[in-house]
Amino acid sequence: MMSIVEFLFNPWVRGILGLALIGIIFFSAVITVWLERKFGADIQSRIGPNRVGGRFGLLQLIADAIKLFTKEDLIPAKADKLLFVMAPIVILGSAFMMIVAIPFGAIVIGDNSYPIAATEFDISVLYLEAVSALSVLGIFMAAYGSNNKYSMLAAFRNIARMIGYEVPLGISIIGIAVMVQSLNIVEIAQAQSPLWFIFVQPIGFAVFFISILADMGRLPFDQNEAEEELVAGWGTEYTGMRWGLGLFAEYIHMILGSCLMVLLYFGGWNLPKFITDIYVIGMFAPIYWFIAKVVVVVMTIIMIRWALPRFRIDQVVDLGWKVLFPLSVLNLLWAVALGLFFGA
Amino acid sequence: MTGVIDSYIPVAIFFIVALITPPVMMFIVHQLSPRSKAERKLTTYECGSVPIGEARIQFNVEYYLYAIAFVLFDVEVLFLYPWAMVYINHGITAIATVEMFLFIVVVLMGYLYLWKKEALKWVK
Amino acid sequence: MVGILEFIVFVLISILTIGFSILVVTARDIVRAALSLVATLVSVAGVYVLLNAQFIGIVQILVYVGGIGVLILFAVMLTTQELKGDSDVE
Repeated sequence: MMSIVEFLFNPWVRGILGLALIGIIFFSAVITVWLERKFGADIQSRIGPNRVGGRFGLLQLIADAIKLFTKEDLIPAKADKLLFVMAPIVILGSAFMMIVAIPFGAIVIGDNSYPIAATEFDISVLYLEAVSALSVLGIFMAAYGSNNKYSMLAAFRNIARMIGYEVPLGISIIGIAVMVQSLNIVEIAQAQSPLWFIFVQPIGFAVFFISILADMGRLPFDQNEAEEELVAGWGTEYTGMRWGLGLFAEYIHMILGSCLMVLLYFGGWNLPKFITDIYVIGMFAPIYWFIAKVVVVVMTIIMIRWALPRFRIDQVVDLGWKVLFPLSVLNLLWAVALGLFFGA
Repeated sequence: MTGVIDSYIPVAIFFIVALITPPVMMFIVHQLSPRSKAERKLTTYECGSVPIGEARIQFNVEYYLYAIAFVLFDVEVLFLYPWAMVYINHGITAIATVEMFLFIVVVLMGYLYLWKKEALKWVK
Repeated sequence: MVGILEFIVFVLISILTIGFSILVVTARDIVRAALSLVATLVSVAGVYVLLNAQFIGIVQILVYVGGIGVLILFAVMLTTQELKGDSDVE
């Protein structure tokens, strides 16, 4: 038994097995695209996709995939070809690099729990923050590369939004780090087994939730796409799969952002005590519990998308700098006070 | 199992995979997708009319101001991370807390200055 | 074994760093030069991680790529001169 665990925790084995996570996340991103359409249709009393694959349009995913793969790939004549081609790699790469550090639940054997993550290191939260910020550059490269006015506007608004929300996001994460005394995401998730951090730091959670929505570019803050005003934002000149890569990156960011939210504020994969007291839980129960939470968060985010209109860019920037930043500092002080009072 | 650096091996593996996945996908697309030889399909989209001028135009200065403010606060936030790791249980709690309060006050004064100077105001 | 591997990775990262930094000064397009600078800084972050200074490495990405890189891009886009791409120079 021990040798198997040791083998699985060899960094090379772990990294290569972890690649399966990319596949799983990619697949769940595809499902989320379908969910977004169907669930969004339900919210707005429409029918949604129903032509392919029965009433629920389940085969719509496959139809979409075939469509993306068989569309002609165009590079505009006035484009900067290198940047145009590199941009989706950077955007998708930022999403892939985030998958490495996120634990998707844990397998519990006896008293030990083995997090399902490709790797685990001490500053994983900071790493996630840094890597997710890279996608901004990808979007700028796409816009500058495609030499389109709509794309440029979208990219500039996207950067302005991103830098407005990065600071509150960072400070709200420090609020958690102060209490756990760690930036390791596994330790943070384990630390909230009696009490979720959303109850300890409600202000911090509000700041984090809004900032991560902005970070993901979800609808109240989707200045990078803004399909009603900027055609398709950064992706105006992109066709077929090259655009699809950006689309998948967006949905992967959304899923990973939800995972991060669950790990930081909703107790991660730890089952509540009143359940573990009564039942002997199975090995994989924490994973199901984690996935259930992530699905709830993803559905909430989709619901917000179909319920709220897009903010103007000046409103977005004002919200970030003038509301969320002071609130996050307030939350930090509150967290420090709690940390001093209870001594971690 | 030698050290901390080992936990970055998966990061390197993922980095390589992230680099090669899009080209592989685009290669598949190139095998499957049709080609047409129309000239006009390569023009930049501008609501159907002929594009006017370059898209790489001069942008507003306010973006730059926000970027400067961002760099300042980003670095200040990063100073807080190491502090958050050590301020309890290392025998320096009192002085660390006081110093951090001073630091936050200074940062907030800078923030108020920015606000007062209307650097955080979107002009157009 | 580990020593050799580290050395190989170090050489790769060094080649990337030097290559991108040469691109910074030789690129005709000013935005390409700025983006090459960003790539150089990312490679330097790789060197830091290799030197077992992970925090510095990630701070490098956060500050230089997220912050300074964006600042430089905005500064470049502020310039009044016509931004000439490679294709225009020919």
